[in-house]
Amino acid sequence: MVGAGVVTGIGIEMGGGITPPELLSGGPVSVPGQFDPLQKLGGKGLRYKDRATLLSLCAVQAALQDAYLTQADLSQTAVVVSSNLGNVASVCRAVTTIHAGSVEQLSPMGLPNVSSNNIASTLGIRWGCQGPNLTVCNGATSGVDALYLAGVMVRIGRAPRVIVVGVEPHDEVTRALLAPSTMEKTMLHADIPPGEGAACLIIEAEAVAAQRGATPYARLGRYHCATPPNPFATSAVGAHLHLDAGVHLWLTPDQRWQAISAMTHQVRTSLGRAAPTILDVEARFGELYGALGVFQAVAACAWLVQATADAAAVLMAGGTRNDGLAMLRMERAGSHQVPDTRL
Amino acid sequence: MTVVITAADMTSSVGVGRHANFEAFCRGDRGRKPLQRFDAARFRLQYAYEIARSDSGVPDTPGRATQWLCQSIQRVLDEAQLSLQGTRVALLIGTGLRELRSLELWWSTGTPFHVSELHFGGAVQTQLHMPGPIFTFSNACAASSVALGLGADLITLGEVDAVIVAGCDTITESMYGSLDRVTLDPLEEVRPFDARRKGVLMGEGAAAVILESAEHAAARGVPSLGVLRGVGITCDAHHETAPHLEGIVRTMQEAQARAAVTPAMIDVVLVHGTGTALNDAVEARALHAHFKAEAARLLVTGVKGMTGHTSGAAGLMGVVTALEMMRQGRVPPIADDLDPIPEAVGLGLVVGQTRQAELTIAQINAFGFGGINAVVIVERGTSW
Repeated sequence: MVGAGVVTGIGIEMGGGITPPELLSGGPVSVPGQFDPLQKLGGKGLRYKDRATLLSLCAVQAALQDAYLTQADLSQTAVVVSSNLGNVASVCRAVTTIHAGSVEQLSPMGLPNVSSNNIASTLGIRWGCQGPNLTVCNGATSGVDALYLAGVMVRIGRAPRVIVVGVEPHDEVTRALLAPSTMEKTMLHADIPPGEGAACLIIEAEAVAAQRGATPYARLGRYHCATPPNPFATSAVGAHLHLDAGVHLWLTPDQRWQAISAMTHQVRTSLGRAAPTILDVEARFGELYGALGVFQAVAACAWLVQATADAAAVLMAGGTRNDGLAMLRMERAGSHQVPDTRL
Repeated sequence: MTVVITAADMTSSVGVGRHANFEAFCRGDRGRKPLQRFDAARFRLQYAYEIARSDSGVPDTPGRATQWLCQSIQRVLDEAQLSLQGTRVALLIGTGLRELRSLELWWSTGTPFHVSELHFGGAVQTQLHMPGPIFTFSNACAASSVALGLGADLITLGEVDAVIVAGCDTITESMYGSLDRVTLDPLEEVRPFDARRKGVLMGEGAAAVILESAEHAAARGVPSLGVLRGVGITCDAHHETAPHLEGIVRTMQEAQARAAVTPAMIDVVLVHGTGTALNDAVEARALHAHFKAEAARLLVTGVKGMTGHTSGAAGLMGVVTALEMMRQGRVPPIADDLDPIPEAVGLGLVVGQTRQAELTIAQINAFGFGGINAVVIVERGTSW
């Protein structure tokens, strides 16, 4: 399955001033950093926005700057947000408030936040994006899925450009939700704590990017999903994961779960010297859940711009927590023929 | 490429199944009842359109949206005689509130819940063994119509041979309470397009359809219920909760352009019609602004007076209803009696009795929080 489009801008917000190239470095596990959205965004209109929305606003602002795009360019732009946990705290806190008294104690400003599309709609309003507005809440594969669906929108001609965001916040509800059960603890390779952050890519139709003289980081390639009950079951794991010639970087969350760790090891062994470099973004930044695929894509872009002309990366997320496995190939832009893209 | 619908199903507070719901709409059955699952003493609003519970004695049962979803998907698989093995198939689920109700029960009463249960893929896999991708979209009140548009896109692009599109929602305490908090005058029922309307009440349910290319359906020898002519999807980019006239008109234009139809070719419109002051006035004005002289010829109806506002499932429920309207040549009334809003004067609202009419093309509107708009155009199937 193939979406389409090229990446013309990347941006992340994790607090602590972390920049996209730093996603590529190893290092010790980091705790969710200091995040001060008011400094980056100004205070206007932000008072009732939840944490995931604020993180996303910062990441999108950075990516748009990186892509040399302003609001004037964005009226036909689509927005696709991947987040499972963005508003779970708002929902749970509202119920706690109601049960402690009545609905009278709720803030009347809380209404948008109890609908999970609040992040995407805030982004659409902030930058005047009148194209399709989509929130993908698809578990561990959600970030990779969002990139594929953004590519579909570009390819079918629903939007010439898509702002793709992956975001998960960290709060008292997410901490409880992500804590591994007794059984899950036996399946862990390493107990990586929850992380938080927002990552953003600007996807454009290749011709649109070329027309405005934008230099793409990468092209979106083939998407593949493998379904439960056993998404790793295949005799030719390497081919199944499209780790064919030219894949030099494989982003996989192999530090946390034994099943993924074992699969990664098996693939490396079978490919020998042809095995790609393996990078687990979560090993340093914590479990990113629905945001992972988009963070992986940002990391892949930071890597691809410095790689050889025929370089390719594969993003992989899921395969655990009852989710299937999703994979997306990203190639250095300019290394293949332009696909037939309807505008 | 022509995308056809080869099965359609829905569940609501007035019935299970496409036929049962349509007959209920024609009779004017309403699913409104006093709050069943919430502690009514904590709310000013006292009514909702819940699916009647059979499990008294427990605070509430988790996973109800998931259950209705799986049952609806099974029914459409049966109707379309679609085997999942050997078919390139995807499942797209549009929901407003996913399993946030189950999250609420976990947080407030300790009812067991796993983070993966917020979306529907795991449960569908366990029950139905889907071999292809399953996507859950949480896209407010337009969710299932948006899913329908993207599903059609996947078929048009040749990514898959068949798409199951579904929608499902239960009522959450947080959304019901938040709507209650901003409701000026506690209301007791939903009255779409009525001057006496006082706002929206929530409902729940599910819907599902199967999409295939016309060639694929013909090769399988299955009849089509209708043709999915096009889906317009836009965002107002204007306000978090209030609708925007220009955005709605633009969506209708886009839908009709994708469907290659003109306003003169639309026979009936199934409105979003939530019964709020803003939605109904803006939607009626948008219909006039877009259809102009053709507005007088339109038949107009809506089902939220019967089902309540079923959040993300609403759009697809409307599509399923529209298919049955065209199949039977009958339009159910929007209400038993109506004092029409001034903005709706000149629109052919169907009131009181079911209207018999030959219907070829229907439009279904869905407008969600955050300004997410989706308008669906469907054409009557010919193979009856």
